[in-house]
Amino acid sequence: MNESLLEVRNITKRFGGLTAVSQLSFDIYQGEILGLIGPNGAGKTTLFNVITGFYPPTEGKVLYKGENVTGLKPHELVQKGIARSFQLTALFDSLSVFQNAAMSRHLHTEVSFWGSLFHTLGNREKETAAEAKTMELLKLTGLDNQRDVLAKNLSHGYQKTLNFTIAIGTDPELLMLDEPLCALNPERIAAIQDLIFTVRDKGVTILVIEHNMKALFPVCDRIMVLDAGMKIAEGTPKEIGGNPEVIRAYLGGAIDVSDRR
Amino acid sequence: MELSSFLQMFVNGTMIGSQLALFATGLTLVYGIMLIINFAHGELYMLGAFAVFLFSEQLGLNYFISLVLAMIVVGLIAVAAERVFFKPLRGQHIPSFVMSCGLAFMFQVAAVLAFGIRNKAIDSVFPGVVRVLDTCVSVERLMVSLISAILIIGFYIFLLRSRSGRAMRAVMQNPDAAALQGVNINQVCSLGMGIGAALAAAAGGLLAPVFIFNPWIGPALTWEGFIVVCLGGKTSLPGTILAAFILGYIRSFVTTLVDPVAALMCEAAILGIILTLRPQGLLGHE
Amino acid sequence: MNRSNWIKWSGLAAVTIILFLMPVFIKNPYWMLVLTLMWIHIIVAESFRYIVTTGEYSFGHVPLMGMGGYASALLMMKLGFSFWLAMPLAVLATALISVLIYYPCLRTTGTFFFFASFAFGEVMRLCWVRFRDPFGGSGGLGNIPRPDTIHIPGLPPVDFTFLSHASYYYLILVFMLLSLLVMYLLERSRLGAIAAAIKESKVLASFVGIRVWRYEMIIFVIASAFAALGGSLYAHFTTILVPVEFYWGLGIYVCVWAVVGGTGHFAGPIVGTVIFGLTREFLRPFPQLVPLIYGLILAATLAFLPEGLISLPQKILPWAEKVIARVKER
Repeated sequence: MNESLLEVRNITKRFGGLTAVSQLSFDIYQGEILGLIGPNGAGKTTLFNVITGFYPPTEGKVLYKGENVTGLKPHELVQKGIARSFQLTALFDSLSVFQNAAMSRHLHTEVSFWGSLFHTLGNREKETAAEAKTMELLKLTGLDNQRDVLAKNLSHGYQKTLNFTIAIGTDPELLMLDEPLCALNPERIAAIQDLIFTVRDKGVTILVIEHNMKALFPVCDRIMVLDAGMKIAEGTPKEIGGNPEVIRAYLGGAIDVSDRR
Repeated sequence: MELSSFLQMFVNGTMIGSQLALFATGLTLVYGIMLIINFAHGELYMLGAFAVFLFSEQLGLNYFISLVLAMIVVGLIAVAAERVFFKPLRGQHIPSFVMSCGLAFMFQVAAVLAFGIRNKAIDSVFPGVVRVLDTCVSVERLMVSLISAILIIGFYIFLLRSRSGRAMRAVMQNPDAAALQGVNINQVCSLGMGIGAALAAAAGGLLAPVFIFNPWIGPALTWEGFIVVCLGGKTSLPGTILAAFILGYIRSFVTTLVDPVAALMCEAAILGIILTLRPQGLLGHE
Repeated sequence: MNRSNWIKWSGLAAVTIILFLMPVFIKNPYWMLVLTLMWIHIIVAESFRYIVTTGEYSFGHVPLMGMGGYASALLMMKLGFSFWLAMPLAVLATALISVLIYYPCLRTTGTFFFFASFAFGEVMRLCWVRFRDPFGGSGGLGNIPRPDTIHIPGLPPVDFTFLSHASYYYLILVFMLLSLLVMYLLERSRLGAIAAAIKESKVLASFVGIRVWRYEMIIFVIASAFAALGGSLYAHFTTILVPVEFYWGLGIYVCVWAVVGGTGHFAGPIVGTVIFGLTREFLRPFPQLVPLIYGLILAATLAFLPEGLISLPQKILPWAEKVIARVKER
């Protein structure tokens, strides 16, 4: 059994009178792909926002590699290796695909400020190297032939891919994807599924929120189910598919998981 | 500090507060209903003062009748401006702000063309001085504060009891829900603008016998009103009243104990602090 | 270097040469004054735009220009420093003060940032009114010393006794060109890319690891330093500083120059400042029309060319190409 990369302990988040997440605890193990499902309003995105530092939890703590990271700001968590994509595409709209990807390399580029200011010779080499790494990233996710297209002019499917690209551009150890497959055509879904496996093979641990269970279940090692802010089930896709609690919560029928690669 | 000086400053502060409350309520109303930052509000005050001047000095009408006429005239001008200029910009902070600056300028030019650039004044309506709580207060200013208070209370009664008032409150809370309930949003916006302008014009008309005025007094007043609105909570009418009095007392005490410039510095600092530390103001909610 | 770069660089070189030769052809002292003042305004407008590259509009920019002027003037008048020492120290001092002004504003954005920056700038500006010693009160500071005469061995001394002397023109022109060069390089550097990201989406920027506040503060401070440079040059050029000059009037003008010129492009504020400067001169006989014409230009630009005048060539180019193609067909 791999060790825990992320430990979530008794996380509660209240907004005024509304409790979005209540006493939630779970672990994510190194190298696994954990799926997170639940009806609308179950608290999935709230959980993401708490873990990635968008806002602090009302109670509880988050431990990353044993270190307490509760309440740290997003840029600090990205530095530690936790990255996320967004449900509603968050992109640098007026920048090109290449510039978006280059920005995601912010923490890892060797290009220094003074070097870039004066275009010194040594800097030029670094700039070329950084550019090559960015193109590598774009090639990985299949956006390299659209490198100069402005992000806002991409089709929806490619915008989601760019969203995904920016998240993995930060070289995370824990990648959190918020509905990466929603509203995509089958071709794009297959592409993203492939990407998730490719990224996992590079050693990245992945947590995925998704509503499209048919597309999600073949990809995950384990599934966790939330309802009304609480965890109601945790297990393999097969177990979850047949779990009466989960079915009662919203499935309405068993899920066929025979597609598992 | 002697008790009598303290009381003098307190009374002054109360009077300034009531004037600011009357003036700033219109600003909050317009923002609350239409989410428009109206930087021409001070010009409405200025036009109110000039309107009273026109009716009472030049046309010889009774002061109170002039005041009412001024409120109506300026209110109608504001409604027309709202229909033409502000309607397409509802809800957009920056374009409405820029537009209102343009309107402010237009009103200034209109006032210059109609009345010239020289300072104007109106004779006192209530001459004399009275002793209140062991302090000296001019009757004029006392009456201004009383009438301001009456107008504010009247406005609140309208807001809380009348059908239109309830419609306005509904739109301030949730325009979509109000529309679904059958409230005519356009009418409410125009009404809100008209009433807000009338209140500002009243403030201008009431203070016309007290201070000299010219076409350029608008911006400084709008600035003060803006500070009041931000301090109180941009969409909270009770907050505006509270903030108006707080600022009135600060102005009164600091001006007397230190100097007028220090009072201006305090007000600017308060605006900066409120916007950065507590953007929802004292009584607002975000 | 490819062809379009060659055209750009030779164009810039030509413009620079023309700017340096202007005093030879323009003998009219009044126009020398106008141009020299325009160079100062360009520094302030361009540095205003530098803040806009992060997406924020600051109304504390012009007060900070004034602070640079006051600091520089006082360092010369009260402490006897030479201009060449006072000016950089004033720039440094204002940069530090700008940290105080902008730090609380970092929590705000959009209209709130606009008014908060104005509020704190106003507190600073009112200090010049309140503290007659040393700032001179509402009457301001007069008799500000001029820059010290420059002695270059082998050449006649360069003095700054007369406003219309070419010496002022060249001094300020050189500072303007240097400022523009530095700001241009900054925008092309990594800092510029980070600013663009922040402008697009602060949230996403923080989620790729960018410390948004830190970079915003760096940019605001740099912009304020240039504003202070402009203020210092202004103080020693006009030799009088009055607090009301740095009230919201000039702030609105700077904003208008930058916006009408086009804040999306580096050269936008330059275009805006020059056009409005020249317009004001042509309207000298009709001063009351100035705000009206300004307002019309602003309204027309916002309505028809929201990206500013600088985007005009881009808009005309496809249309012009069509016309040329039609003509060729004939």
